Amino acid sequence: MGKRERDGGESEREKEEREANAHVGQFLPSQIRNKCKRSEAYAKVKNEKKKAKKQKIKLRDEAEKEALELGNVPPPRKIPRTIENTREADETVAQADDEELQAEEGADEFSQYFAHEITPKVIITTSQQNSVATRKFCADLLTVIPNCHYYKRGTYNLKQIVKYAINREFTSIIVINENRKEPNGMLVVNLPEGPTAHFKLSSVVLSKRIKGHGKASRHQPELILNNFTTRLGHRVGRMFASLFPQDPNFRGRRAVTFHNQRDFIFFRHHRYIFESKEIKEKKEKPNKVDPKAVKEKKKLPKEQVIARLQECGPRFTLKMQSLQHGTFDTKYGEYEWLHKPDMDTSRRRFFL
Amino acid sequence: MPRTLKVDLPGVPRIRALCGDSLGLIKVITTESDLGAPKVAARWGDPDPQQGVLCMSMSNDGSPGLAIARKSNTVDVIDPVSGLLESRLVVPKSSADVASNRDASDAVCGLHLFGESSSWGKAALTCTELGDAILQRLPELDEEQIPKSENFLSRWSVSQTGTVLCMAVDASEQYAAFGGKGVDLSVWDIKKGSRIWSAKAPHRDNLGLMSPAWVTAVTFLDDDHKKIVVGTGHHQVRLYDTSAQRRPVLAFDYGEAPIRTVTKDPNGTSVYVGTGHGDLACFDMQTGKLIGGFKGKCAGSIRSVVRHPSLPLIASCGLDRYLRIHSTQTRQLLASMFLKQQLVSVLFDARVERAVTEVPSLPDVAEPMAVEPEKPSANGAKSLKEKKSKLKRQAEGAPVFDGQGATEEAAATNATSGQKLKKKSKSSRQDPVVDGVGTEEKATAVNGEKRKKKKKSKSKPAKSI
Repeated sequence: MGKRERDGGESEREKEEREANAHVGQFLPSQIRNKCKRSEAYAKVKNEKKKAKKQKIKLRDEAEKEALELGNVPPPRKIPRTIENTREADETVAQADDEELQAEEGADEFSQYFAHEITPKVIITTSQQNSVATRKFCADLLTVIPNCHYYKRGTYNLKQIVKYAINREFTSIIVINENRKEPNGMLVVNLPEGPTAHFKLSSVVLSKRIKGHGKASRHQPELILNNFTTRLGHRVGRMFASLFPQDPNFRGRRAVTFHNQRDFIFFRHHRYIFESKEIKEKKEKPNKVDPKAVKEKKKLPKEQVIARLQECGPRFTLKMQSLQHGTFDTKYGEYEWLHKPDMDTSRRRFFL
Repeated sequence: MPRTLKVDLPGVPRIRALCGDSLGLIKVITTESDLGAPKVAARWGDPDPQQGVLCMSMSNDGSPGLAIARKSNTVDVIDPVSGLLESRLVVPKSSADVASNRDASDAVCGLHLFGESSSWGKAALTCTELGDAILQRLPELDEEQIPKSENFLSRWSVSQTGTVLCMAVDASEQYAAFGGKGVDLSVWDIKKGSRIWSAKAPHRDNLGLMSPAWVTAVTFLDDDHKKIVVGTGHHQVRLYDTSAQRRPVLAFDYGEAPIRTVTKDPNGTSVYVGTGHGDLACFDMQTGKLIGGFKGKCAGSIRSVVRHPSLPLIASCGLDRYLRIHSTQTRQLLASMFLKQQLVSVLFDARVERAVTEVPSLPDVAEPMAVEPEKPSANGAKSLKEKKSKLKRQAEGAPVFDGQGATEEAAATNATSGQKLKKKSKSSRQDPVVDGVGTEEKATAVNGEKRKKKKKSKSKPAKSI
């Protein structure tokens, strides 16, 4: 707009705009050319908006309270629109009562694990050229996954490693790839028949960098898989599940979370504790009539059990790039799912 | 308000398709109305991973029956209308010594159902990965389900080594082509069980390396059994002409993923190619040029592509669990269906369609995509040299004119001899004054005219093979 049209005064459009906003003030902040004054004006507008919002919420809450007191049904609250709840309709979302889904999951590559026939045994390795950051990340992962073994990559190619691992009855291989000495990729190969998933790895925070982090115990962790809803998501979720033993040691109070949101899988590792804590009571005016009762109350403070969390780390985010049929073979393999650019035509389309 | 709904797809005309999946289910997909969304009309079978579908086939002559090869080494023949079992045959296991030291299994990799009008009546040709090809008469349903040698009309071993991956039977149902990993393309006479032709490995590449044979898909290009299109694991599409030579006459690369399926178009010139990365494209096999790719967010490997016999449609399915129907003319996605399982094979049931309703025409049907081919007449008198030079030109991607099949104009400009043709094409690039070799080009006035004509003929698309 005509911010730079210094001569000739304001343009017609500016004039119209100013007239339209006459009730707000003389000028819109964006129309002020002096930066200092503009920011001042903007701060003022922002403050007013904030106040108005607060007032609105206050009025709504009062109305709700009033309605409840009168025994009326309060007006329903509006649900904010988010990208997740306005996601494109997806026919692939798995239904629990689907007979075909159950039959397929009863016989897929992970069915033996879910039938308690095998216990997971995992190899962790790096790319052939690896740096300290990647090895440290591997070391952190070793604290998370039980029955997990680090192998130096050496100069072996992955197909050789897959063969080796199958012979040694490993059930999964995790390979951490790196770029510019920072881990940036994660490959999970389920053995012996696949599938192979390739993830982009980002936002890695090692345990050491997490403020107030705890040290994970050696108990077997509980596993939380969130929002793996579609058919593909189910498959990926089952793949993550098959990295961990199925019998968590609840005494360890250790939880590993894979949380899927908008196709990004967030990994967190926590321990928790249950603590009993006094409930803070509102100070009551001392009852002059019956002081004994007050004393009794003080003797028996109300307790409630609360859970506290402590993060153990590491922390990272995964985004799936491909899911391959069978074990690792990028050149001649077949893909079950491969990210392609024409899938990214909508922000509201998700696959997991 | 953001868009939370999917964009509606245009829909397909009345069709009926049958789709087999890894749980052994057959799903019948139909459209109720013209340009409607397809729906699953019926589901046959119970979900059982042991009964997973490996191949499906319907007979060429339109006689009823749909043959399904399953993981349990049986071939079920069902009625494609009702889904009732008509016949069941067992594919015998190979002996242990054949299977030793090989990755291959007894799984059926190729299946063809012969109709009643074929020379041996109702029968099925199966081929296992070990290369055991058997032509069996279909037994009655109440017969005992043991493979009986008296039911075998023909049996032969395609290969002693490697893994057979694909099979195709030609339109006359006399010949079958086989290929696989470590098994180069070969054509067999079904009746005699004898090999009539086998391919030679292509020449070494510029590094002096030879790629091992790895045929993943095969199809006969036209009604004749001479031209065969092959897809390889090394992402190459090849055209073989059995009447010309043992090496491919045309080969080109497509993408970077192994080719999983190759399907011919009834026009006899183009093929549809699906790959392990989920790419689907149409190629003109006269020139080896890409006609166009099919879009539609295909996320997983394409296992099967099928062309509708009468309508300009193709259906494709694969590991991403979607069945997609594209128009071959606009190459747009017309419909896609999520069918829950990893899909293995899809077929159009045009016979039932015709019986149920008159096949309607698409509203915006344009002219057919490629020019109808003029069938090459059998010309036995042609010299070998001529053929070779013709094939060379074909491989280069230049239009080829047949001595008899081409138009008069073309015949006038192109001498019948292939050698001459080659010379002329060379000379035409040079200064017209310098060349005095061609007898026809002595008079300059005529020369000019002729050159014009030549230009005209060159700019025209290829008309015949």
